[in-house]
Amino acid sequence: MTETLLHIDHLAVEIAGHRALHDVVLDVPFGGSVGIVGETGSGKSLTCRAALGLLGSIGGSVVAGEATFDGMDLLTLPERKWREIRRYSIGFVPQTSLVSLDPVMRVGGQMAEAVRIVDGRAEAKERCRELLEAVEMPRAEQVLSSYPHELSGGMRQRVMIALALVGRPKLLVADEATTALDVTIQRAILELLDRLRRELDMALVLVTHDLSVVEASCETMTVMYAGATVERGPAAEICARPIHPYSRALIAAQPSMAGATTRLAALSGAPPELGEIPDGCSFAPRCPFATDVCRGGQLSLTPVAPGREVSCRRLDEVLQ
Amino acid sequence: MSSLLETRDVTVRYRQDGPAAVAGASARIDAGEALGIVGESGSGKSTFAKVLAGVLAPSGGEVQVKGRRWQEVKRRDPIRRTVQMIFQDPYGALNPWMSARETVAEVFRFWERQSRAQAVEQAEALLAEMGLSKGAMARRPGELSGGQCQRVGIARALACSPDVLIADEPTSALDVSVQAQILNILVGLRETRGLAIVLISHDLAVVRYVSENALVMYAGQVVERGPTADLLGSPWHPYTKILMDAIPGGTGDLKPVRNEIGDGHPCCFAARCPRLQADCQSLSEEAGPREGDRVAHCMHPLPERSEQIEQRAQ
Amino acid sequence: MKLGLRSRGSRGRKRSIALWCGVGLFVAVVLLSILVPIFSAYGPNQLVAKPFQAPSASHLFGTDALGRDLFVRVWAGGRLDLAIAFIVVGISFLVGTLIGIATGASHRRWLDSLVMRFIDALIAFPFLVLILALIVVVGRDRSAWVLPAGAPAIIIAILLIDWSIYGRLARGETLSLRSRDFVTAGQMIGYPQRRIVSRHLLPGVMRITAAYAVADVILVIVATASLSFLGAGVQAPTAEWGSIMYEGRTVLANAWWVSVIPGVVLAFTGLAVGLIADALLNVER
Repeated sequence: MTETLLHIDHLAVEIAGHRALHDVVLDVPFGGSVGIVGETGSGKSLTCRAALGLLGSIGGSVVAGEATFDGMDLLTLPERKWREIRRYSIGFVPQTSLVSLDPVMRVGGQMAEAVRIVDGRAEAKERCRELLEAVEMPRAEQVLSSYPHELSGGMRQRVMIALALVGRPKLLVADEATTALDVTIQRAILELLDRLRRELDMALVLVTHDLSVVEASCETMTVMYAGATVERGPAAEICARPIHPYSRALIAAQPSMAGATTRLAALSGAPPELGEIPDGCSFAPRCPFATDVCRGGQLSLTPVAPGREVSCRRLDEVLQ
Repeated sequence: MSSLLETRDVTVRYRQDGPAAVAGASARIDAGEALGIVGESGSGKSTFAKVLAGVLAPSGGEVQVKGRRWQEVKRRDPIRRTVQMIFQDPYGALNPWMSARETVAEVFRFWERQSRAQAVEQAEALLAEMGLSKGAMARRPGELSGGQCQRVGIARALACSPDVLIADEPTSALDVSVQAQILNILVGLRETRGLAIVLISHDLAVVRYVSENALVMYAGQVVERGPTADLLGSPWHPYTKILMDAIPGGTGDLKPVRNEIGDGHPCCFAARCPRLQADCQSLSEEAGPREGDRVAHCMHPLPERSEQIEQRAQ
Repeated sequence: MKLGLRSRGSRGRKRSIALWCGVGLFVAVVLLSILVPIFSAYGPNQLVAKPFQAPSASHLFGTDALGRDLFVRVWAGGRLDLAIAFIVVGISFLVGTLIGIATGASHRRWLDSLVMRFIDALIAFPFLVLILALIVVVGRDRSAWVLPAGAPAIIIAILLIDWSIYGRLARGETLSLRSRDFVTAGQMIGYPQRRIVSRHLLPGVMRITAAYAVADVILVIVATASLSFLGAGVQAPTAEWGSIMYEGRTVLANAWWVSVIPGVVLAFTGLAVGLIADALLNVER
């Protein structure tokens, strides 16, 4: 237990009376890297919000489950404590980070505003430069006196990462941090995140819809579908040998560089809408293995191998 | 056989004295062929697609559709139907105030002069072929998912019975499983209708899956072209190699660098090329290795090639 | 990020309550303006009682300096104000939308800049000076059709300015819509420009200008009343909200109802229109 930094178990979240997350399981070890993978509407971003205590602003609340961070129970935390956690313990690079900087304020001013709270006014300038150097920003001095629109997408992303590092966090959550970037820049940002994780002894949660990103840069991963964790385990193993039918479908749907001669195995249908999540296995309506046993009742993750858990009622058939 | 679409040395400048978004790009698409155009943002690939599609007149160079210059084709000329396009933003590509059915039926009414009932019937058949449910056909784009909108966009293009479909990043706004559905539709259209496809994408794996030929663009120029399998199997141009290495799970061997070079270097990639050498200054139009359809515009292509080049030089 | 359906629903319900309150209030004002002058026992200019009688059961809004019934006068004035507003807004909406979309969609850049500079000049010119000058030119005594003396001048004066706002809105929306991919798709299919404008651009542009037209009704009513209040508008003895308020201004201390009641009716009409316009704009988003 002690080596787990963030522990989320059977978390369920409701937004305005609708069940948006049910049964989310996530364990982030100290200094580890975890990927959360899923399609639009699977609840990846919502899970991040829950871990950051930001559900209130969208009218959501935790209705079941547990969540601890560094031994603290997150679910009973007062707002004042949350602010402290967000300031010093968890850094967040949001999904919309390319437009998250204030367009009419110089980068240096925006960074100093955050740095002053943590390190005081006197050292703000020095610390800003240090942070930009940590994110390998070229010409740091010049960037500090620029406006956001004068920076490229990759540079803005580096500024956002630097901002997330201001409080020297133990955990960095990056929500689709590389989605809008070109491959070469994506590569550079991912390598930067990995280096920062090692050097600053910080855990990393990478939220993405791109399996190959997780495979390349995370130790473990969690696959989410319709607000629940359906499979988790070492990233390389899941990508090489997915067990849950949904994980399999995701991997089969990706075109490969080797150039498959057959058609891509496209999953038909669409994920359920919020508030229309079926009882039992939410993937059952699209699952080739589904039978009546899959519908109704409560599902839970079952261990199948060391460190691997899958949420499926027809494991025996699926494993064959 | 004459080509369907052909461009020669196309240059596009958005402002007269501004930088060239496309600088001397040539391409040729034959009937039934699938051509992938790869590049990062700012490479000019979308601008080039617009030139191919005939919606943007180039500042210089030639674009021909079935042997006719695009500039001479009037708006209502039936040859317009030959080339159709699908777009990156599935929502922006559809009229938000028209239902899926109306959007497609309008094309039949316009070109085939069909009655409303006939046009709707044809539109429904086409939409069903694209995998849209009956209920979804009556909905407007705002009530459809991104994948469904993209299907409507493809159906609208097909309603013109085109010979070429230009797809500009058709799946980059979609989830992987939906991407697979759309890509399968595109591949299927080639088989069933013999449609030629021009696929513009930043995703090498997507281009690999759909098209047998590809061009790599950088800064408005085509830096390498050839059969996709060869091109991605053993890239010649350093930029192609960098793109491949940057893919998650790629080796990451070759990385872009920052070279201090003056303006007017003949190689468009010189400022970032890790293999830049002094003699790159003498890069000419015709320089670089070629072999059949395969061409790379580079003085120092990757090592596997160096021997062949030396042989040719002797 | 998808939000809960219920939260969207409850916000929607509040919005539709506001909309129906606005519509109800506005319909009431319109009906009273039409019906009261028709079915009332007295005409608006008839001397029926002693001057300055406070509101009572026999004269709901009281009487004015000449002993005319203010209930009849206020609603007769409402009829004129609403008629002027509908005429001005209707013509401005049509003309402005058409000119705006035509210049915005045109490939002739010079036409676009010519029209825009003209509109700029119109808007830059001091509004009141322009209107007062126009009223002098048209003539304060001119009446036309069923419109009483002074009304045609007001209509023409406000129209000259008002259409340009629709023109600007329509042009801006046209420019933003025509850069969208569905317009490019239409061009590739080979639709002629006329079809693209009428079928693909017009519906979107009209939504914007129509939403403005609703709010514009009250702006025009206020402008009409203001001109009459300044003495540049409808001529006595014709009843009109602004002129009634003007007549009451000197006796505000003794006979407050003469000025206050038309003012309150005008404010309620404004509230009704505001609620409708607000609800419509929210639906847009």
